[in-house]
Amino acid sequence: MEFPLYNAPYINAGMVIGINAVLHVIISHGVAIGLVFMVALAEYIGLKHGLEGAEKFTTRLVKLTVVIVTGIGAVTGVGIWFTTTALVPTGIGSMLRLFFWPWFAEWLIFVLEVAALLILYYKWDGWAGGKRIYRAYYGFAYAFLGSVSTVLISGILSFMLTSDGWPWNKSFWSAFINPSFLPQVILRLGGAYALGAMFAMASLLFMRTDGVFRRKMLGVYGLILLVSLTVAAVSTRWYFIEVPSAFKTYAIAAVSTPDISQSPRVFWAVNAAGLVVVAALSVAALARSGGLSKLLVLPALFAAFCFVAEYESIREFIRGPYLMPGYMYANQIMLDESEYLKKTGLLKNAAWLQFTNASQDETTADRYLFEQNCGICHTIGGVNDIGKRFRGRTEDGIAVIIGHTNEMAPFMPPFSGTEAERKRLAKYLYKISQQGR
Amino acid sequence: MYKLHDFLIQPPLSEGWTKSLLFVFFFVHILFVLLMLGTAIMASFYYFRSWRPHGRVGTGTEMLAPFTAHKSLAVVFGVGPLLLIQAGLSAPFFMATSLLAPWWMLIIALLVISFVFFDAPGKRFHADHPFIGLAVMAVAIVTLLVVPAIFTLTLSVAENPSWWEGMAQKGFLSSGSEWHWLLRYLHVLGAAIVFAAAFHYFLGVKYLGRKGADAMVGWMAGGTLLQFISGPLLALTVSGKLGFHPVLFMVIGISAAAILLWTIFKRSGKSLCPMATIPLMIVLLVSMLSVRQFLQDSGFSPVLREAKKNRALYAAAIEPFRKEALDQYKARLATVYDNGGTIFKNSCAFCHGGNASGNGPEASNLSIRPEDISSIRTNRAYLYKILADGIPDTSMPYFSFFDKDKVDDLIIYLDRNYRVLGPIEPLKAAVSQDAMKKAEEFYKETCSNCHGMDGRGGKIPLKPGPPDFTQYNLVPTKVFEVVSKGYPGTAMPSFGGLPEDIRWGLVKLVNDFY
Repeated sequence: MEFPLYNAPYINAGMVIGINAVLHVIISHGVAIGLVFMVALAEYIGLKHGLEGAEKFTTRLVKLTVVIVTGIGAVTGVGIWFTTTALVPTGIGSMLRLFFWPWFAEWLIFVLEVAALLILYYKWDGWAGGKRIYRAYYGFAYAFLGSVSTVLISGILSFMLTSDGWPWNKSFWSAFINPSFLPQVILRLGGAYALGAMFAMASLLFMRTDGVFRRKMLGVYGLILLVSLTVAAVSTRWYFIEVPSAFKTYAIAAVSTPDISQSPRVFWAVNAAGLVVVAALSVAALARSGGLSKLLVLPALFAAFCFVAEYESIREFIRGPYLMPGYMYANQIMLDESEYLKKTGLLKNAAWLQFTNASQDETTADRYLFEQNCGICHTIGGVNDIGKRFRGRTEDGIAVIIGHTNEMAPFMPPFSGTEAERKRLAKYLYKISQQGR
Repeated sequence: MYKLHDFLIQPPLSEGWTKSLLFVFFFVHILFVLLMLGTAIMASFYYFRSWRPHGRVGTGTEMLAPFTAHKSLAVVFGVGPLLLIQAGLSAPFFMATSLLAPWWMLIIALLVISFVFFDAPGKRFHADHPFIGLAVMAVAIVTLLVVPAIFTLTLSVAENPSWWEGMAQKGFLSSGSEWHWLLRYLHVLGAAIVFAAAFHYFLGVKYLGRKGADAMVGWMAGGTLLQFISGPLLALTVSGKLGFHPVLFMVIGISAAAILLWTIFKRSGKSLCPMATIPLMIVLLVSMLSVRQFLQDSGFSPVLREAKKNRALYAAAIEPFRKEALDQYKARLATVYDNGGTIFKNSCAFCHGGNASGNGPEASNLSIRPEDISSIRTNRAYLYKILADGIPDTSMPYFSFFDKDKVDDLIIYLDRNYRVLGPIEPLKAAVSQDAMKKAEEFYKETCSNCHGMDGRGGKIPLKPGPPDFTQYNLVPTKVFEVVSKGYPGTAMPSFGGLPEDIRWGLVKLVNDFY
């Protein structure tokens, strides 16, 4: 199905979806699952060991957490639906048809999560004295429900990279339980608890808290960070072993500009540095060094945010030409449909163009060829500017390149349209590449 | 009608189930939306009314206490209906969100701002920074009120396929449908006030007090009266579509509203009875949503039918291409870019040919023919620059989308197979001193204009520019060919008219620059 495409000015669809999604991942993993767990743990340990100051810390933190989770976390989660609906309607619609039930189950869990969080929020002050343990229980329950959500979503996200046998057998379970599913689940959970431990440490160190309680919790959070960081690192390695080599091959190019990709060592050095900072924080916290931890916690959080953005960008980029591997290209054209359109023509089959009468306008039809084929990643004059990409090429060269996108740059989908349409697009893009030269 | 076809993957539920579940979940969603909106409207009203530069703000912020629950539940219960409508009633809904894409996405930003701001003033600002509190509250309510306007607009557009064409060409406001949208929006706001007022009346005893409770009844009565104005006007805008069922539920709804008003005005000092009022309000909401549902169905049905029919046709049309497509995909999965050979085969060979002789299948489509790679002699840095940046004003693209290790692999491959980094083979033909002298003169007079006396390029700007002979050269036989026949597609003309020995002299000169 083809809808009137909207492409945001200047930035491309991936970036709009990505900015919202990364914000959501940091909050849903780090705050909703991770930090709520850490708060519940502080309440539990505080109660168990009769630590002064635990209650003050958890009470302040839980209110803030609820504001962030319900105000930003949940809304940006829904925002993933909204952005993809607006920008890749056929892609998200087809994905939803395939994965309706996991998404529906995930929604039911989401309802329970919100219910648990609201109960925690409204009952918190009432659960004083002997009932304080309920605060911990509800916090743990919430973190558990969040973890179940993560499992369900990971099956869908990992499909987008390793669709396994699905393109051939069209079996739901083949799509859902795919090779990169398990490592991704573990990676996400490891990341969630690592982020949560860091958020909790930052709160512990920058809020006024009781000294004994702070030292105790710093050690606990340091241990959790060290374990979950190790788990995340190992599962990242596992994850990339499961990803087909054909996809993995442009992982470095995925998170860097063409210029930076020409210095792969910089990529590895920056990653190693980030890892060292986070690991150093966990050791400092384990040693209960408040001063050193305070120095490291913000850089470590920054590094962690970068890791989240990096992982999600690589995952989204290396699936390269596909939105649903073996079924649909990133530009929402299906694999078999692309072959069909090569024979019969994109403009002729346009559902949308014809009923806007726009086909009579030459430039609109040119633009349509561009938007349908390239517009999902390229803009004219903005991010990943097609004019810049083709600048300096001859018109016949552009025509040849358009005809071989998928072979030449393996992360690009092939051109879908007839020979005449390909030449027409080349003429249009050559004109654009000449502007501002 | 249109060529729109449904997604080729079948929907998870039948249309009947989709619509039934949608109705149930949408009811829950709308209930919390109304509570959220109404609470926000009334709380803002009280906040603004009682705001003083140096004073305590009472009811306004206290009323916001349940707002956190209302908004969270409104959001979470919105996801279910969204999943159902997108999976089952895809065509009209995605059509609307596509036509309204930027507005539709704006909802997220508006909600984040509004929710965070509503949580902020009550807790922090109004005590110490009254003016910031005022601004925060104003932003919170304004951003929140825009959201239902976008939602009602989206649903209106989805239900009215006849607007789509006009909207696509001239935007929404030219479709003559503003009245329907505006009245629908007001109808939602009116309902929000009635439902939220009832919520606070029955559950907000703590902060409302006797006077506040009376005010809530006032809001309920005022809101209901407003519905009696906006409702009939809204019905007029859809009068053409009103069949038996919408009218039936409209009658039920209006009756329930009338009874509600009657109980409010007849209570004479006594409290409203929750056992009577709440069921009445549920009837009211169900009937309102039923009217909406039936009208929506009548708008959606023809589009859904058409999209389903077109899906079958389209699926049959592309079916013959599936096997070929899947075979290509399989081959693509098996391709591993861990060596220069793979890159050459996929990224270079379609122009330069599988044997690198410059005769790939696309060569004849290029005005400047691809170079015969086996004739190139250059150094690593210069070759890297060509591969990383491409050659300006030719069809040669850049390959820096491969990281440096892969470009290096490619260079190794090219050198191993075609000796591109090797030395230039010595000239086979002997050139006399006399011919050499003439060649030097000719180079100075003619060639140097473009190639420079040092072989690095002359003063005349050319597109494409000549290569730097000191770093990039060709084997003698190839240089001879270029001198004799010219370089098609570039400024390099043919000098085939020169005696052969002078041409060989030029070849030696060019090679010697290297």
